[in-house]
Amino acid sequence: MGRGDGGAAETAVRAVVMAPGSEPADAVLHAARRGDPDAFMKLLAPDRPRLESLAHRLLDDSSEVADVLQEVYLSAYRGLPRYRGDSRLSTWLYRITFNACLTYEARRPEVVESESSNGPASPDFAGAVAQRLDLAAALARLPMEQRALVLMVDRDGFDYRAAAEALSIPLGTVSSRLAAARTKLRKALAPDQRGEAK
Amino acid sequence: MKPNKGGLTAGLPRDFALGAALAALPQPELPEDMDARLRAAIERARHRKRRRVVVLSLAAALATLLTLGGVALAGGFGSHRPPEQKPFTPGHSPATGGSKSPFAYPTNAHGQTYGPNREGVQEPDLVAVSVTHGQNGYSWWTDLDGPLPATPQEALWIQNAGRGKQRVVPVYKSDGVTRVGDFVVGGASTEIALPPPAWLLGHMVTLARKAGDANAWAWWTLTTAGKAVVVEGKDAPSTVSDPNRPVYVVIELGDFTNWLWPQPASGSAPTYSWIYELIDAGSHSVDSAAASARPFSDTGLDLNIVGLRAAGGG
Repeated sequence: MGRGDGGAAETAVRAVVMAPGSEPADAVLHAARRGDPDAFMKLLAPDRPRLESLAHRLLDDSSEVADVLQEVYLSAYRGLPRYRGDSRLSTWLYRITFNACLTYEARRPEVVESESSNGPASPDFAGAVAQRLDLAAALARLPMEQRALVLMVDRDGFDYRAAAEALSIPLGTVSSRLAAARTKLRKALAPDQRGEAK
Repeated sequence: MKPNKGGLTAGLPRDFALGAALAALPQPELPEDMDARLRAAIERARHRKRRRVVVLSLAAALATLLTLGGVALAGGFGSHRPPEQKPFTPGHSPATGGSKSPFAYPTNAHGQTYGPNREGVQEPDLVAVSVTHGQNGYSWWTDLDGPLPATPQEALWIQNAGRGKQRVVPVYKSDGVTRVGDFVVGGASTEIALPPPAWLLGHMVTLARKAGDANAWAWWTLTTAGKAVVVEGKDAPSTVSDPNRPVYVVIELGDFTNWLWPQPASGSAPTYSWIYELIDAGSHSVDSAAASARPFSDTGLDLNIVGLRAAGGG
């Protein structure tokens, strides 16, 4: 590249535009990084359903999902100027979501379960949802990290490396914890095989 | 599934059947006005936007301050927070104490908060400090916390640049303008970063402002042309005609968004953080310059850090 022979006006300079492999259109990302709310919402749009579902499945109290998600999106908005494209945007957003849920759960006081004041569900109601809730209940019983891993890898298609990066865990740990989560969840998908001797 | 050589459980990278079943689970029921609430929160954040920093070496900084024996910070620093990299605009008052705290800092005539930093409360714009020479007063917390790394590579570079010299931080009255003293923060070394010549400081401030971030941080040194080329990396010339010629090296870190030089063919918007300039010490002309997303090599250079906001950038 050229070196100027004097005077700033004659300086020939290369400028390296960063963000290798960034998926969103440069213009939208750039506008969002400068604080444009519309651009930020547009940037979030492709990942929002999965982020909302992730938060829903990670939090034990589903009534808090909306509040935690607000914190996630605000954190992303504030942190976006510092997002440098070293990881995919989705990975970055998942990391924020996971950390927000982790923080929330760590601070949440112990809640003593009490019987519903509405009375027990009717047998018909219970029967109708039992099958569908088997998997959800099994998922809810997993440790948070295993829940996040199986959702990210098996449902959302993250590769192991991206999942490791999002959750800040070693790559090898992804394999072992994912296997443990899958084993437990497969039992919920095939209840007739529970207790079967191997 | 068989354990593999490393003891890890092998298997298919992705369980599509399980994934499909998980995808079929119901989505959360979110309030209908969630988008409106989010937009309102974003608007509030835009009006209260400010830098939040990750304190790189809080313990080291405090240890240095205690070792010096001359500085005590009333109330201590706040806790680690994620960084935010938009230029701080004096007069643009941030939240007083944060939405979850009833505590409210007093504000000066410019609408900036000031006072001792309180644990659990968003820090004020001007943090109370006490110094051994000069009056007690307040320092901008952006000055106290220093440059913000966005990656581990940047964090390492910032920590090692200039061999960990300490920084001089201005102390002001509560107006944030009337300077009453200085104190020294940070750094693993007992050496204090030298201030640049006045013309060079003005040049660095102008450069940062033109690039789009008047509150950038800069490092400078006076060296020789032969040593300065290390900054150019792979673009460095194989030979330097006059290697002993005195040259200033300037490296700046900020949220730069303006093109300083002819745009590349793609015409895309710039998003770079780092700028360097090599400046002839005699003529003050710029020999070479570049912008990049990543820090430049500073091997063998004895850099001195300077905050451009405090120098009049902000």
